[in-house]
Amino acid sequence: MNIDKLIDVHADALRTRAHRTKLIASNIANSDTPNYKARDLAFADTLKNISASGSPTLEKLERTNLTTTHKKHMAFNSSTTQSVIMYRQPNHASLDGNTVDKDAEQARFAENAVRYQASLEFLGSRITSIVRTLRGE
Amino acid sequence: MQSIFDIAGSAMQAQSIRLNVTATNLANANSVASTAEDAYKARQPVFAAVLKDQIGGLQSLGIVESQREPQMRYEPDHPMADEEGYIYASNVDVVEEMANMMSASRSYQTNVELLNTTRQLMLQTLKIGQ
Repeated sequence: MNIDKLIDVHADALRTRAHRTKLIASNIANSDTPNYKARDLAFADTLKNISASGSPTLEKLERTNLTTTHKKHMAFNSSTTQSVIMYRQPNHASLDGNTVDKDAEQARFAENAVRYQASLEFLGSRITSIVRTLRGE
Repeated sequence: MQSIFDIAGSAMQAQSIRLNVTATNLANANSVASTAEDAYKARQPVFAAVLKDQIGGLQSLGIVESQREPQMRYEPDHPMADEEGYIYASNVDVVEEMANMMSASRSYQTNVELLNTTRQLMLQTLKIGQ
């Protein structure tokens, strides 16, 4: 039996949440940096992608897909390198070219942290139930 | 997750540089000089993302001086006055500096909050399955 199947989607979800935390932290840290563009990932798509590609690495997901405009251009393996990180659509233009909305990012960070904890709870209860099954209690 | 500590840490470092520079500007807001060149010029740090188009923190590229003209005042009794009786005060805009200070301290607070949340999440992750 595959232990990954028992743990289910929660491990992948947790990894994706951790990655999103990093992205939003980066947005908030750069809220005063001129010309910084806020980024976020599409959670559902990312989760689908890393669940589909057996041994997922989120670092691969960070790479952008290359467009081939010439027949001699080499193709990029797009099945595992599907770009899911996107620039945020700013609500209003700012003079210094920065697109970070600090309050919105803070709200997203809090939301993401709570959902991370939820995934953690699910994963934790899965693990305890596996351990309990193994013990035969 | 560990890299969030670096990201938030770099932001806190940058914001404290900004606070520091603002403090220098405010302290020198009333300083005067005998020539326009010697007058104190307001300083401002310049921020940039460490890695362009990648997830990461920010850094302070350097500090630039404001190019605004210093305030010229006619005070012939002043000991620093030149032959024509003028003194040159700094070009610091106190209102601007106060706004800057508030922005910097708010950003600093946000990043401390960020660090605390991440720390809690990591501690909880360590306790998984217990």
